[in-house]
Amino acid sequence: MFFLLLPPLAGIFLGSVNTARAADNCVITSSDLDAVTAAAAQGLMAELAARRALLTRTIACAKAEAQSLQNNLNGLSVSDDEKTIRAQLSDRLNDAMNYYDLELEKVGGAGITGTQIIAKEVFAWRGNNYNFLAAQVANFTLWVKSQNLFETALARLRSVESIVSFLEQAGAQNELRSNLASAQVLVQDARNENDSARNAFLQSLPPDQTLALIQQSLQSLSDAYQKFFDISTVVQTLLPTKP
Amino acid sequence: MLDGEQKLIKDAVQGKSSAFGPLYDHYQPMIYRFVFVKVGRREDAEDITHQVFLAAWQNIGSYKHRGHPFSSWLYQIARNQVVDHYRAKKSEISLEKMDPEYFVAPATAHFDLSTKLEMEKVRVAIAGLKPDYQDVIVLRFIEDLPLKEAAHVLEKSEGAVKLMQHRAIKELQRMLEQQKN
Amino acid sequence: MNLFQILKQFKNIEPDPAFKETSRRAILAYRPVAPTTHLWSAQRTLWRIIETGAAVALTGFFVLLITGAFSGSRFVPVQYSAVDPQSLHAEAQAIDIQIQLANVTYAESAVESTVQTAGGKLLGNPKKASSTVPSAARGTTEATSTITIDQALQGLSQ
Repeated sequence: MFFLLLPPLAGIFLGSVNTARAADNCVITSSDLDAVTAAAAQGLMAELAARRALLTRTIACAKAEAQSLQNNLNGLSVSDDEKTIRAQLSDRLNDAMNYYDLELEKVGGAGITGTQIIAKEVFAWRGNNYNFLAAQVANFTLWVKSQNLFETALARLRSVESIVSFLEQAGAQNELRSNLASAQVLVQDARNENDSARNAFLQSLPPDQTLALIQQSLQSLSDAYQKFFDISTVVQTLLPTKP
Repeated sequence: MLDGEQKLIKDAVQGKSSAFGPLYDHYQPMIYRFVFVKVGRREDAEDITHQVFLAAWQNIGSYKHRGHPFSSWLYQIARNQVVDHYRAKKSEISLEKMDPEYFVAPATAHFDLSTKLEMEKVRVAIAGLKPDYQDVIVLRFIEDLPLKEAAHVLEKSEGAVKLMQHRAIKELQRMLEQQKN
Repeated sequence: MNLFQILKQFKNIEPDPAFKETSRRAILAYRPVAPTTHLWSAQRTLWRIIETGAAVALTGFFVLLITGAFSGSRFVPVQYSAVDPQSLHAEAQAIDIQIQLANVTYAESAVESTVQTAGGKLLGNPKKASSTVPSAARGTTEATSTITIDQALQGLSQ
């Protein structure tokens, strides 16, 4: 059922990337590019005007996207440790917006070739800088919103430990203890991997590495819950009636 | 029987691990073999053997010499542990299945391959017998236990054990014949 | 070899020495309780009775626990909700959702890199503009698709 919830949820929390691109009159279509081609047929001045207009709009949209990312970032509820990471990412987004402002200033005075060069440079700059930053912001958002899962899992583990100890004293099976041991290892692994992801942000490691750590930590949590389910199944068999 | 076994047992009953150690060293291989032939997998045999001696050491205080060897008591514990093992596993032994690890296990390292193959066929056939038949084959034909001791371990009369071993061998031969065909 | 000869071979099976040593050490590290000899069999019987009674009591305890008879009592040692399947499902589902979102994040970044390397053929060569018929002038109507910022920049760089 949660797959049905996935697109809207993805939109809500990946507003960092997806919705920013479509936000606030920043919809660029293939017709816009066709219009530039059409203008070229009308002469150099028409083409130049069309190129300048579309390039200005495109760079403005890129700036709006960065602003939207920054707004989402600043809206996250983070602990004091994570505020440092957030501040770093926010500063880099400020740098991006400043860069776009500088490029926008060049467009007004550029010729056709000049607009082509600006477009090429901004494209390359985004590939080398901005897209990594946007990915890292998306990762950080994902990571922040996962933290409560680790806290919940730890609380769950403590409760399960109590019940297993209690049942063992009453003579319950070894199966409970071995499942619990596995769950303990998995929760610890998840927390270690989660800490590694935090460090990856602090060290500005590549986004794909950070994301891999986040994915790993979540998978370890998921595996831990499988063990909790296994314990639950055993406990159900010990109980005479279901609640 | 171990030299000075009575003294060792007496000290072990009093909780002296220095006395239980030599008893463990002497009897562990035969209990291991008994379990291994019945369960077939080295890992399971090791686990169960460990449980047997742990249970023996935990309950040594309750051991009383009643004219039977110490090994009889150990075999009785081993039989119960194997039953518990199957109860926990809730699995049937596959007669077709040979444990590939068997061929490289330290336990069988010194046998040549054709002997190992023959032994494994026989072991698989033994595993297909009912538990009492398995026990009597291991105790009487592998470990060469005297009839009296085997009877005590199996909690049967000597006459019953004689009859049982005869039937067990016949059944084993029939199963091996079936395997061949 | 006949059957009896093969059976005799089994006597040569030896346990792994490393296992034997490890097992021995683990077992001897355990300290057994000193025996009480006089009431041994009576004591064992008594323990059996107590164990049976404990099993009955434990069952009764669980009945009371799950029917809420202990609710609010400070004597309840554990919370059954620790292994309640419904709450476990809810928590596990939240994790699964995050995993799916992480996978979407990964897919997003993969698409970005594809766009970067795809190369734009969104505009025809401007020098051949006359031979390129814009979609608006074509006899047939084509659907307009949204393009990304990078696609737009790439188109404008040509």
